[in-house]
Amino acid sequence: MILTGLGSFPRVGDTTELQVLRRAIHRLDRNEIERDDLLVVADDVTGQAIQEQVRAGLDWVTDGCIRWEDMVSHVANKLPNVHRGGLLRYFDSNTYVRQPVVTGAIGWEQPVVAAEAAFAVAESPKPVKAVVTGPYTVAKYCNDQHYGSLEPLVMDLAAALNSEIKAIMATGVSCVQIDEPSILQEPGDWALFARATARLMDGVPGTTALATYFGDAVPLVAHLLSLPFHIVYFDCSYAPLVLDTLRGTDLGGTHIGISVVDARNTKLESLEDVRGNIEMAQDIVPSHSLHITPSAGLEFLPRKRAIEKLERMVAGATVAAK
Amino acid sequence: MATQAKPILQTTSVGSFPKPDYLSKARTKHRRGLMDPDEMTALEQQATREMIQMQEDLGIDVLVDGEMYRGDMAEYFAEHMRGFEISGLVRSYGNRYYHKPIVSGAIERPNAITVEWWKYAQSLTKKPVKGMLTGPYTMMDWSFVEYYPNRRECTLALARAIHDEVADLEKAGCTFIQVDEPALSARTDEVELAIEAMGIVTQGISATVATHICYGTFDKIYPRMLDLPLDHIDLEFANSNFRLLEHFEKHPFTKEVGYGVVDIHTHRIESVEEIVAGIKKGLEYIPADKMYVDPDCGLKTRTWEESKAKLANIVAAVEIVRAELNAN
Repeated sequence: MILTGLGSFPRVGDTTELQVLRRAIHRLDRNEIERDDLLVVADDVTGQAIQEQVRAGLDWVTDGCIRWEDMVSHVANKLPNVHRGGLLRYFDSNTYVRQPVVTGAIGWEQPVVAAEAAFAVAESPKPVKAVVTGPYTVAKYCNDQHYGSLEPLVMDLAAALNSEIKAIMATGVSCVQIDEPSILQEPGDWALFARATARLMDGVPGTTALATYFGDAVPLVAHLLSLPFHIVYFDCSYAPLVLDTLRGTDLGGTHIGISVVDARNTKLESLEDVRGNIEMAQDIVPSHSLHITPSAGLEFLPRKRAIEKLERMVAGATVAAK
Repeated sequence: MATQAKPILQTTSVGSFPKPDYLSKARTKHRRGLMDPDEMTALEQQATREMIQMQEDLGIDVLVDGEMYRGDMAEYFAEHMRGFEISGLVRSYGNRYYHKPIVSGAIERPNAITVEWWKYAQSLTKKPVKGMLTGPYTMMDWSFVEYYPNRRECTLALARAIHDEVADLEKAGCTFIQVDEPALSARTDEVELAIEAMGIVTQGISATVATHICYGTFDKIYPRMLDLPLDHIDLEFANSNFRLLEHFEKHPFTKEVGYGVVDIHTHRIESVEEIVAGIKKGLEYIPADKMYVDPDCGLKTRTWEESKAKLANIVAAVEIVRAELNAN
């Protein structure tokens, strides 16, 4: 059983010391510091996010996506012919993303975020999982002024991200997680999604994972398990029936991530509930291929509660293992 | 407050304005318990006077109080209702954070929340001042719901409380009440819930009721949103380069529109010509007497100078279009 988060970690807390990144970005906006000064602070806060995950007892950690402006545009807006656009609401999270504006053919010239993965690997005493928002979800948020239809946009994004993922893998991360929440909203796009995923994963070495959240994965469970990923994560807060569906499905050797704490609600799950959910998951998924997670990235929670949820998850797993 | 001579293309604002420096500093002191509450109120009143004066000077038609006494639009109402706690900071976007409310008990509105402030702002001007509230669906969606068993029950409880606030504003003389639902498109399978809740809010109200909706998957909620039981919907157009209008091609917009012509998330000041062009695009779909012209959203994330410059250009653009329309 592997305990891990799904990517983001709150970048500020309620005390002054925990708001250094927020202040540094303000100061950069006012031209009081240089971009390099901000990067030093972002490195520092990333290191703290990694340490918090380690301290809570996770087996795999992420860099907390501390440097990401939002959950969609981080890689995409750095690719050729993609520009930072207006704000769009990100699912039902009351957070907003910068819409990628596509003005020409999307390509890939050089790694754009691999250095961030390398930093996390160097910082972390635990295996590091890197996170990349997948081509389908990015495309759904794009303002496409070039392709004119979804398919060529998704496929070019898949090709570009394929190169980036290979560069990330080369930094020594233990896993690359692809986030594709949007496919749960649009199951009718499955054929395109499967083609894009095949292109995305073409020739990628190492362990890869797919994260879905913010929607009901039940209708797509068998499809999701057929994709070329070693691990598929499910949001069981949004769709508790996923577990029942998995019970009747041939897992075919795919590792399964089950969420046992709700990353979207401050209500702290009881130890009994967490333990019960983990034991139920153990009934369905062999322990050696079971991953236990929060339902999504943790940045939607206040920092203190996010840490408490991780601790509760780890405590639940500890009692369940006994 | 509408008069017979009301010119077409009324100019207005969506709600918030940036707080003057002295007020931001005072609010920080107040949070730390270092500020006398009366002194705080006096500063909030001073800032409100300045906001009203600024809008008068710019020639805006329908005014707002600028929300000098409010922080975040969900947090403010949560602080004044029973049943809420305030959480630690969570991110809204980019480098913006807010204290997301937690619904930890039964929601009640023991007293009117905004009525005294509305009366104060209205006493400063002869022009109409909007009543400004946050809608029940948005209050629910922007809170952590711990107490109620589901989102629906929480939303309907909020709707009953907000109805009472709308009724009190109307009783005080307010004729234009905006109940913002920016979260309307958050979950497209809940649009009907938001419509049902708005029905509770507007029941028995004869004042003009408006709502503001923004930053969503518009294609999924249009034209269903036209079923909202109210008179006026304020939308952002500039942010998407007026592409929202494409939706009106197939399903005509049937209410008054608050027509957002400047992007509130950019420092760039849109030129008068650009705004004129934006208004003209909109007039292909919406009659001039049903169009109010304003920024995309509240201006509180902009500086004072930026806010004034954007509004001044809106007023100048509207005057040009009005003159052209009247000449024809």
